[in-house]
Amino acid sequence: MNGYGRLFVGILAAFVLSWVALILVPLNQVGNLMPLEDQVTGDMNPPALSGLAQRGSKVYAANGCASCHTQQIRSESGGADIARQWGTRQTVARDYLHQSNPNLGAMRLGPDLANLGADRPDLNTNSGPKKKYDAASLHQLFYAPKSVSGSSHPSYSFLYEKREIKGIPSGMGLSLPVGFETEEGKEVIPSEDAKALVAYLLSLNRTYALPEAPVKP
Amino acid sequence: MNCSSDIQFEGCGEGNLDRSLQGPLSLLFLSATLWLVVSSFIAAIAFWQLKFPGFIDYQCAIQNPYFGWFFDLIHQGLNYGRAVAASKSILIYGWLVQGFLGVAIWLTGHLTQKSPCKAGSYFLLGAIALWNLGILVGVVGIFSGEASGFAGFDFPKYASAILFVAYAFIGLGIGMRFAMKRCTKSTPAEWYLLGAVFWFPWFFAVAYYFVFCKVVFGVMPALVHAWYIGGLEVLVLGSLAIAALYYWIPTLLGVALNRVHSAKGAFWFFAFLGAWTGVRHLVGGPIPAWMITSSVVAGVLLLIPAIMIANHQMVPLWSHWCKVKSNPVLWYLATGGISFVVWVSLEAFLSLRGVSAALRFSYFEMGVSAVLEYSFLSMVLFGSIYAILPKLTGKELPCCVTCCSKCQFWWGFCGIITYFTGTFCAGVFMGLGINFAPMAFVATKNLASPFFWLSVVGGAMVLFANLIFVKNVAATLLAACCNSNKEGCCS
Ligand code: HEC
Repeated sequence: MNGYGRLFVGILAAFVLSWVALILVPLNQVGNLMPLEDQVTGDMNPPALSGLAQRGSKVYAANGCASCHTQQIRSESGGADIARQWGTRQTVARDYLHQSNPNLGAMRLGPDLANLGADRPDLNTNSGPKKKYDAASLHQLFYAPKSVSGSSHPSYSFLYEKREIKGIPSGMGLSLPVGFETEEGKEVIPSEDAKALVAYLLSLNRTYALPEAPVKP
Repeated sequence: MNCSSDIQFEGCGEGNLDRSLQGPLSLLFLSATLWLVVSSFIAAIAFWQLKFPGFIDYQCAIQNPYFGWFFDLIHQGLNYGRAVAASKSILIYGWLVQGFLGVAIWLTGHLTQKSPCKAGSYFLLGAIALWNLGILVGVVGIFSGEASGFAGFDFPKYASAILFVAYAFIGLGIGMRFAMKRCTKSTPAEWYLLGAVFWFPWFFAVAYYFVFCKVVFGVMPALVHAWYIGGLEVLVLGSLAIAALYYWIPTLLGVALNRVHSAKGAFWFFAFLGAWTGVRHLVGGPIPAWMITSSVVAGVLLLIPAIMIANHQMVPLWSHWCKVKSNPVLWYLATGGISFVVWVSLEAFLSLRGVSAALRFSYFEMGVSAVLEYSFLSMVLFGSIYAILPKLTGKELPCCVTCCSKCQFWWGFCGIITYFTGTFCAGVFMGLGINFAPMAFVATKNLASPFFWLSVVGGAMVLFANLIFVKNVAATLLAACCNSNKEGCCS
């Protein structure tokens, strides 16, 4: 074998070694994870994702939401993620089991969204458990961020359609606050993409306990 | 074995070589340069939105009945998320990968002393055109909302497939030239070059499979993506830049490299560690801890080959400072070579546990990737292109171009330092703010704001430098083109 042959074998080995160790081995380790049954409620954790939410995950990816938002909670020693109430525990591989794109993200120009759809006991009112956002307030944030006080969120108004009301209103129109209402005789309807995106965001919930990631009481 | 005997093989001399590469490589460098500027402008639009989120907004569309659709289109295509994805992808595949492939093609010709035959030239031209088509299709895909959402691998499936096919032609061509080379004594530049040319399609194919074929759900695609980006940064682009430095520094200085007997060791160290560094981008993330630990360790150890390589390359520059001073090409190469070590150190620093708790996810990450993409890779690429152009066209660079290249260097150099300082300070304030839970999240941005403006100034300077670069490349190629036409008439 001449010099180039040896060189080539070495180059191949460098690649194969890292491929086996960093792709094949973890594929067996995290690729075989299964949802677990909750001992008390009998629910499967993590819960399956609806088709709409699955589609919303694509909308999230395609619009580069991950360039400003992460979806990963680090342990208490790894940052103030839990102290900021972005989650109750560290996120682990099993949490992302049903996601085709886990949208982990690499920048936090906006808050972490890993648990956006979780109940927030600290916001509870008399009418029962409450999430930080409901569908209507998310639509408002994306269609007209300027109408949300203190927000500098980019607008995604192109995911909504403004159209004439013919006959009776469809009932799906956004209700916008004073100063941001649509003109008389028109309504703003979320597109399928917008609905999917919101369904996806509201499905984000990693507050259930897992054996490898217990929730501290 | 005496390597000069190769020159007689197939009767291709040096002059011939550059002539047969002139067409394809002119196209390649010109399009790479244009993509660089396109990417800078899109990045500027994206950056501006961080301070003025509404500046390309729908609001004006409502007021304007005639051009409303146009504003709507702009808003859809260029909102922050998509613009960042587009500018990053264009920068990587349009400028860096394409530009370095051009350098690799040229180096292959000169290291093997083989020029492509006429058919080969056309083949190469076709592959380059296909590559650019792939990027164009990919960018349109991102703008129309089909990005994959994996930063740095954002092109939609079909565009990535085109890129892969186009690369296959180029990569096979380079590989075949080396396979036909008679002389088997190889130089450091060749090891890195061959490594990169071989590694790229494999990393790319694995990433393609996991990201687009949806065979496994969960964190696996994210893990593969991190691994791919590490491979691309270190083993592909990093290797090609190092190969270029190994070739140009002794060639331009006319002296030998320093302590080059340790080069082989450095190469294998680099090759085996480089493929492990990517996963550190997920420090603290939801993947097995042993992977993060091994990747962080590999990243720190990468400092050893980095310093060895810098020792081979930078010491001769240092001891021939006079020559360096008079030749702007060497300014670029020296800056690039030093930035390589700086980048490896910064990445190692950022992956340490305590540091990453505070600085990960902040503006600081933007600064570190700018050190990689601009002050290491792009600087080496600028230098290489300025060194190759005169050989390709067979003429010295026009005076105005040499002069402007100095000007470009200083704008770029000061620009990147300003940008990095800005993002570093902004990142520190933002990171500390975010990690201080009592502070409202939105308030952390105000903390970073003054430094953010510093990085805007730096970015603008870099943009200006890039504009000078296009002008230079276009002027050189145009001058060569006009003159060769005239010569053609005479003979
Ligand atoms: C330019 C960066 C940026 C982009 C891109 C971005 N966001 Fe945001 N996002 C923010 C910021 C900053 C906030 C903080 C609150 C505010 O300013 O409204 C935020 C807040 C949010 C919130 C409320 C979180 C909370 O806990 O209060 C949600 C939900 C959200 N964004 C979803 C999205 C989605 C979905 C996308 C993609 C379609 C997206 N964001 C794209 C910057 C961004």
